[in-house]
Amino acid sequence: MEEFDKYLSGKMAADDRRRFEQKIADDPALQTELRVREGLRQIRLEKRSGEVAAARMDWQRKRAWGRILLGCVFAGLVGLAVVVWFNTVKTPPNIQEPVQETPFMEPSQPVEKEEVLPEEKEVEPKRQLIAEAQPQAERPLLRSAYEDLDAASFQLLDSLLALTHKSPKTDGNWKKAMLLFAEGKPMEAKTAIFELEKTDAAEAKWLLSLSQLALGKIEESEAVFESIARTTGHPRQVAAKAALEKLKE
Amino acid sequence: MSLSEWFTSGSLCKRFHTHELLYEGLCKTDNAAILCLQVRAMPSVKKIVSGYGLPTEKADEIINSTTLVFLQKIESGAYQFRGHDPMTYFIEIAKRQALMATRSLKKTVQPLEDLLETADPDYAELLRRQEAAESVRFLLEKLGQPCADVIRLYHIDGYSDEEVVHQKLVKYSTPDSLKMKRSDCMKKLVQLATRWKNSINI
Repeated sequence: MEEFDKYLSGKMAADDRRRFEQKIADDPALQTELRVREGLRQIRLEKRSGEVAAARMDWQRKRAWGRILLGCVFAGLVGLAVVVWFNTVKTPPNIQEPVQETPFMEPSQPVEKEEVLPEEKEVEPKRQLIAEAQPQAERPLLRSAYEDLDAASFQLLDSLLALTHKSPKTDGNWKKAMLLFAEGKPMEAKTAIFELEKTDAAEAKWLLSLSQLALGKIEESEAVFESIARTTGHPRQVAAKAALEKLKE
Repeated sequence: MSLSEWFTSGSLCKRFHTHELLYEGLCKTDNAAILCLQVRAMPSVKKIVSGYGLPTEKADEIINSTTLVFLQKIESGAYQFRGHDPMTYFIEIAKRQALMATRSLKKTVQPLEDLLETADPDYAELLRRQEAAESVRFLLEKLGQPCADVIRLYHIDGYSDEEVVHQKLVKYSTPDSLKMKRSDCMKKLVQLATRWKNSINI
């Protein structure tokens, strides 16, 4: 038995090996025993190989799931990066106020049906609002109340008021001024704006420029816009620059 | 298993970080060593399989047959460690196994003697041993108990006599008595094989 083990495991010396092989060649019983032992060794190897194959399949399955998981995480990160990039590029960095869905006018205000457009878009970049004012967008500002104003100025005023309203203030004078703008009374709105100046000078300056625009005083309005545009850190600085560009057009 | 383990074979091969350790593990037919070798060789085997135009599912089959040939080479002393990565030899065997797989897939009209000339000796040896294994499985069933268990525990499952006695896997209470019984059983198995020789071609 030991001889067979030595022979099959290659541990037999060359001379002994030759002698043993000769012995096997002369004896059919030894030949059979050799085949049986080879068969047993093969069964053992096949058994091990089968166990390892099962472990390998398990490992491959886990790795495949891991790859799917990693793919999902990567896709999520890419999606997140795209959203962050989009918001960074499209939103002016110095306008931090939260965008809220609030009606431009008080709910009690009567509004002509055909002039009231669907609800404001949820998050439309402010710069784009100014640059591409859409006539079909919902604007509670009545054209008839500003019939003396030329179409381009009205459109600009309209979009600037919509933009202003996207960063609403809680001050009563601010609300009053916005209401008067909606009613087509920019001159009266100035009174509320002067009151607002005591509590929020920056916003009052902005509304003043709008009132000048609403009154058709383009040059005065432009001067105030320029002043805001030069003021670093002014919440409406970017909007003022955009308004100036639009006015130059 | 951690997330990183899903992607790399690093942790699988942690215990076998040198070629020598891997070879030693393979000599002991340690499952972890075999798995490490297979996982490391898998990308190369897949390339070989696709290079020969075989379906990708064949890669697993090639790895399994290569493993059998490789382990047999180690066990018989045909492959000995000389400082090289055992994977290199494994890949060489895999190439020949893949080549034989392509031949077996082709419907050929070559004469038999030509086929024999081109046959890989490792592949032929593997087929011969697989046939022998089938025959022995059949004979072990015929042998009956407790001989079948006594032979299986030592020669197939790889238990030592001490382990078998200690774990009371058979009724023999000492390693010596177990050894004697196994010797008798082996004789019976060979006698059985001799009787069945013609009918099962062993």
